[in-house]
Amino acid sequence: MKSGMKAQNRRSFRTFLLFLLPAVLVYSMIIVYPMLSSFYYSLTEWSGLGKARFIGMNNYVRLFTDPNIYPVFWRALGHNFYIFALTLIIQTPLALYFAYALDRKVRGHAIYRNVIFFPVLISTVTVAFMSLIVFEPNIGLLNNLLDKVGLEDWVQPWLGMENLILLILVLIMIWKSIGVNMMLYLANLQSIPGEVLEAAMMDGATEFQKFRKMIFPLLAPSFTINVVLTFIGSIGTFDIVYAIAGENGQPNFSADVLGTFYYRTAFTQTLGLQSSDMGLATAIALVMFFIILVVSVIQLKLLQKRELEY
Amino acid sequence: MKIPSSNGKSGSLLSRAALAFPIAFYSLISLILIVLTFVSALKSDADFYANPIGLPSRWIFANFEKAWVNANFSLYFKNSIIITALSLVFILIVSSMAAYAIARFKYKLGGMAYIYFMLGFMFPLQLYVLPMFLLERSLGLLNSYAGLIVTYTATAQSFSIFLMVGFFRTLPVELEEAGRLDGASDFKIFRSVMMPLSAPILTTVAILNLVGIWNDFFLPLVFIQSNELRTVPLGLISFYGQYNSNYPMLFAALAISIVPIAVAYMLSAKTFVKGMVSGAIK
Repeated sequence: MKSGMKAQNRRSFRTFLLFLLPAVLVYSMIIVYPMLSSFYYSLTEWSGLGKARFIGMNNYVRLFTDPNIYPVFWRALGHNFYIFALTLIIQTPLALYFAYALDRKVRGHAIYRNVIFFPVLISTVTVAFMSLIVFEPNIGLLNNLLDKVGLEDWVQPWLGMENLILLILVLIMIWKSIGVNMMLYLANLQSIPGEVLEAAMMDGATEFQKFRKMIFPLLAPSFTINVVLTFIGSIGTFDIVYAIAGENGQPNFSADVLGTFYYRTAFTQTLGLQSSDMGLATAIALVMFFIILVVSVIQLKLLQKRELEY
Repeated sequence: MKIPSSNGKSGSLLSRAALAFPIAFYSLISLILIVLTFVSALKSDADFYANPIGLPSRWIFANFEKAWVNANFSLYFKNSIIITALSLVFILIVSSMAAYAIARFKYKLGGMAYIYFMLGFMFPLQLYVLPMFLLERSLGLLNSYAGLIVTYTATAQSFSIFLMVGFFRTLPVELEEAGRLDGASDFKIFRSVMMPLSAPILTTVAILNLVGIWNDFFLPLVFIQSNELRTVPLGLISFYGQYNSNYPMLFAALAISIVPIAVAYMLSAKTFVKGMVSGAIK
């Protein structure tokens, strides 16, 4: 404790509490209390009206054994992991390349940075509808272009295809968010000491070789952050699916993810359930949280081991 | 940091061009998509369906007018502005006060409060949104500005406090002590010494929350039922459901949703990039 403060200790402590109070109150009431009660709700049967009935672990048992529920859960979880894998595979090389090109200060780099970053600031719902410019079957650029170059056979109702919908959603989300990944890699690149980078540059023959052999290994720290961020984002996917594929992840649940499954269970009455099923919904949310926690920790452990090697 | 530039050999020049081409191409396509959103909104229906990609044969503003008046976007826009602005005010006041207490008063309780706030990082919104919904329903806060504002104020605390505590700790204590010797109260010091010095971090926190709240879809989806209280993203969804093939008008609505953020971004792109990136790694 600072000596100068001792004299007015008493008054000071009251002020301290007064400063702290509003944040503690609003945070405890709106976040912490609901947070804690969600553990309780997950152990009850409740439609949201009347009284909740305590049923122990039954919601978790239903989630993994009820034939009306577990196939939906596993399908949705599979889609979330598919989104994660696709995003990582497409976004990583692209973001790395953008960051590298910006770091090398290619002509026009400031413009590219601003243009690529801009969609980060647009809402997912707006981006979802902007993507109609490309994917809408009649007015979209994609079909019009295919038509013009004589590939009429390839023309498709892109957003209505079960096997392609997740890929398209992933592409849209990458377009929206790659600016952040790019900037994270760029910050990492710029933090590498000049001499290290210069030494790396001397060796390689082509830009690509220099990059793969010398620079990518130095980027392990930002790679770790990007993998974990992408994972958390992929498991939490909701807005883009809801905006384009609706709350059922149409067509035919091919875009259904944990977020939409959760939303339907909590707030609507599809899925053959009688009504909103608050207990099951909180159980789903807790399982999601558990998956995020476990997988993120494993990723951090594995990837940080790699960081230390260099 | 200096990076060795190309050494003038033709191979190296070629590889520099190869390095620049894909990013230039990607940026061009992105820019075209953004510009097309605005340009499509300026076409008549007939013009748009005859020629969805090119420039309008006649530039018209009717779609903006229709979206603004008939499709209620003036209302959604007003709702979004009120909710975003009031939430920002509360977030900045409440979190800067708490951060000041934690960073500048050397009480053990402050350190404990800090850890308590940081726990909020661990838990995703989906984990507590349902009990939060039930709580706010019982308090009569559903379907109101107040419900959303108080929720945004709460959800923003962890990260805003984290950023501000980090910043306050870097400020020298001498200025405060000088103020204290002059007999200024703690509130006075907070308001007239700390706050002016904190403009950079307040800006970062404001930008992060501005973008987050203006664009938020999930909380309004869950908390707002009446049409009169819809925010812009929620309005877009209901608009699309209602007029789903009136594309020029849809694009006008999209343009309306982008404009405020685009204007702010053009005023200070650097601050936005910095703010949003620090927000990504919370």
